Amino acid sequence: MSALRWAESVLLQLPMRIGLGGLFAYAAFMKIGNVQAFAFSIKGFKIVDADKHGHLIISAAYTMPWVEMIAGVLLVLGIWTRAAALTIGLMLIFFIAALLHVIFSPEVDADCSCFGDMNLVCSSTVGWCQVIRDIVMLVPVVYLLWRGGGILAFDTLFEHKCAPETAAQGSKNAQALDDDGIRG
Amino acid sequence: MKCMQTITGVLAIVGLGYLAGVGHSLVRTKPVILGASPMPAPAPKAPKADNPQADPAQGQSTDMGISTDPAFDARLDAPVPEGMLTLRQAHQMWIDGAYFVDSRHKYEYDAGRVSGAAHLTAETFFTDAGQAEMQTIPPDAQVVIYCLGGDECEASKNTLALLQQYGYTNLSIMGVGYDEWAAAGLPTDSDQTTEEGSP
Repeated sequence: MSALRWAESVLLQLPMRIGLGGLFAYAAFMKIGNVQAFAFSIKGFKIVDADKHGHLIISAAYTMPWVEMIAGVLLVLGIWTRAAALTIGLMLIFFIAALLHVIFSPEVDADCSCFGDMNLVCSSTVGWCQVIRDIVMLVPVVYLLWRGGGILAFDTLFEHKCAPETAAQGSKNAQALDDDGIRG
Repeated sequence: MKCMQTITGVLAIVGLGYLAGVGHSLVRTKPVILGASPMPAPAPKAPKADNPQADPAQGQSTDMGISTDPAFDARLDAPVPEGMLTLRQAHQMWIDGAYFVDSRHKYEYDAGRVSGAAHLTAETFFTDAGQAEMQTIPPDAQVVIYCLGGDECEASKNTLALLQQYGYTNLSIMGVGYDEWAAAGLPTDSDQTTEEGSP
């Protein structure tokens, strides 16, 4: 493995994974601790009618934090890095759309509750600050999707462990096909 | 191939999250609610002589019924969303000893609040501090909840719904916000000082 790949892993991929994954895991932890407040926050965004589709809001209040938590932890550990990054990326795109919905709907005045009770960089009231923050968070997502978790990820460890077995299995299969006269 | 694996992984993460959420909902003792049960419309109360909260040192004892300033009267009777208390009704309840609950952010509460108000929001409700605040309010007491005011004051409605879940029955929402209360010169507290109201 080249020194450049090591440098990339240590200086870019690992901090991105820990930063983004840790942030999402922390945000999830805050929401899981107070599902009720998160349900109120989702209702406040007025994406769906709470009277008609309250069950959707409650389902989302229970499911979203756990998806965030699993994706965040997987990203930190470097397991299924690309899948975890894509999950987080899709959630960020959804969050941006929801924030824009609030910003462009004058009758909706909602609190973000993005990190539970804590305000990261921006105030709790929804505004452009949160949109920019989410767009900034999309940068490491795209990078990790492109480059993967790097050398210091469990993905790479499993890859190396499995690689000899996979190669051996591949040659066995090829041999079997030759024997059956299917190939060549 | 890698693309397929990634998409499969995303579906697996979402599926696991859903299962974890279902498990979480099963172990949670209190159900998640989205709104309050219908409440009877508040009725203005007659002023009482024995007022437990109208401490002359802290509050003010203006007779709200005999004010002669039309601008002040208009402010007290400013229209509010249906089913909510006007400033006059809320102040009368304050004089009568109702408990006030501030459902705004903590920094807003610290900066200034209705005199004697407790701080309870959906975010702080289940914390130790929130539960301790709630313990100070008897379940059968008259409680007035306020936030920034107006029809969009979801925070008051959320706090009302949570208090209802805990058996509180005499709950009302002040239709105007704290700013209107303070602008009318009604009694307020802040973390630094206690101001005397003199409408």
